[in-house]
Amino acid sequence: MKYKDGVILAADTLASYGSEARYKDVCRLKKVGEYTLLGGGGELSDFQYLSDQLDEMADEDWLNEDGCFMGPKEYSSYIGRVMYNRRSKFNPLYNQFVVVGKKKDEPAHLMYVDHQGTAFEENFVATGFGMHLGIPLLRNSWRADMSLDEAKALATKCLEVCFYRDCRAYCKIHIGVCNGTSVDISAPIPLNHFWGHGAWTEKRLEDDDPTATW
Amino acid sequence: GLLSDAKNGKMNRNQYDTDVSTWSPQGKLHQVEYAMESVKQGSCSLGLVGKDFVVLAALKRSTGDLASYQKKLFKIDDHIGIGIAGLTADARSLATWMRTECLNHKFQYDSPVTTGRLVSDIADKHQEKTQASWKRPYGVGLLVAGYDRDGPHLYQTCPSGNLYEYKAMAIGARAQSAKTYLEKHLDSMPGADLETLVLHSLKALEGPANDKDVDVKNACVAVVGKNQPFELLEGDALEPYLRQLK
Repeated sequence: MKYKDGVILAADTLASYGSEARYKDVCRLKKVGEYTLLGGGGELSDFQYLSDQLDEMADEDWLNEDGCFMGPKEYSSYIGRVMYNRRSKFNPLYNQFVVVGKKKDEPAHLMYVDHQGTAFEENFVATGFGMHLGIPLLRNSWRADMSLDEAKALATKCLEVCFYRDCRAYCKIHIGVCNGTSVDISAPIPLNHFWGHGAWTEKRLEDDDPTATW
Repeated sequence: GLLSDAKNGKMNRNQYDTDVSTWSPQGKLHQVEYAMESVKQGSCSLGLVGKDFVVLAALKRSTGDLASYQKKLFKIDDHIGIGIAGLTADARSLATWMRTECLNHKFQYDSPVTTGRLVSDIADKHQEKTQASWKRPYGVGLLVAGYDRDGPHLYQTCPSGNLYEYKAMAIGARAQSAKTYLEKHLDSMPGADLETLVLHSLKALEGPANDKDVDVKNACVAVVGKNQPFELLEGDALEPYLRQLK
């Protein structure tokens, strides 16, 4: 989501293999070029492939030595074109991306791009289950003038809800921040989660089955 | 120059000037030099850079009273335009290529192309033609005016493939007299407003015009810069400026 001074991006650290929680310490956020963050959901190998291609583009940018670097607008537009052309050839990159960033002296940029080539700019977006569980929370609480801490707290809350209700989510996250001067991806942050609810722990049936909840 | 030497019979046509892939013993590529001569034969185009604007101006030639005046200034994109001197057909080919590149870049990256990078690619195109025996160099010089995120720029491209950035420059016939005028007023350009820059560009054309008048028929001006997409000033639009110069 965008906040007062830029834009943040958060994702959990899980790479699933179908329904198996296979790799639990994966960073799904990637710094691209100087000003941009790419967050990837879906097929991780496609995310890695595209990341490598974008790194090559960033290197070529740097090689021009003219102080001119591509920003989030350029990268997100380019990724949108790639995704749409791949889907049109029936060979999609099976991902939902969030491309965020902020170049100094320019407004913050936030774009959603997916495997169909759908691309749009918004103040806040989410992929996967985040779309269903997180967006309602964001719609209630997001404001354009949020501070960084407020934005981080809101993102954390959304991912907590995702962990509670999405059985393929995870309780460790990264938060990336683009504020116009730098792009920083945090160290892994464990989420708080509480399982001591009465509904979960109190006995409801005659026999000692603690897991019955009705 | 080469042309006057040829007319005087002083130029030596030699065994090293038939194709561009042959070096002369003096280390020259004569075909490239002959191509640059073609640029010098074209009518004058000039450009100058202010703090927020680039102005291009040119003298248009006509073959006679019944004919139209040859177009010298071309819009490439909202933020880029060119002035040409030399083979117009070569210029149009390059202009078409530049326009396509600009459009493709805008479509892919949702962002205008950086002028310097586009011009760098043109220079590479020129160089290609100097390193193949079955091609010929472009016979046109371009003055490329562009306004990027980091401000206004003026570049010159050459049949040799060399690339230069300038604060002010003139190419084509009698360009030296325009350059002399531009050098004299160079220090005042960064502080000048757009109208003053346009007046300077028209005044600078008076040298190359020689004894002829600079009027609404044979002069053309173009401006590009901050909050100013590339705009051509021709015909009656030049009247208020030309009046000020009288």
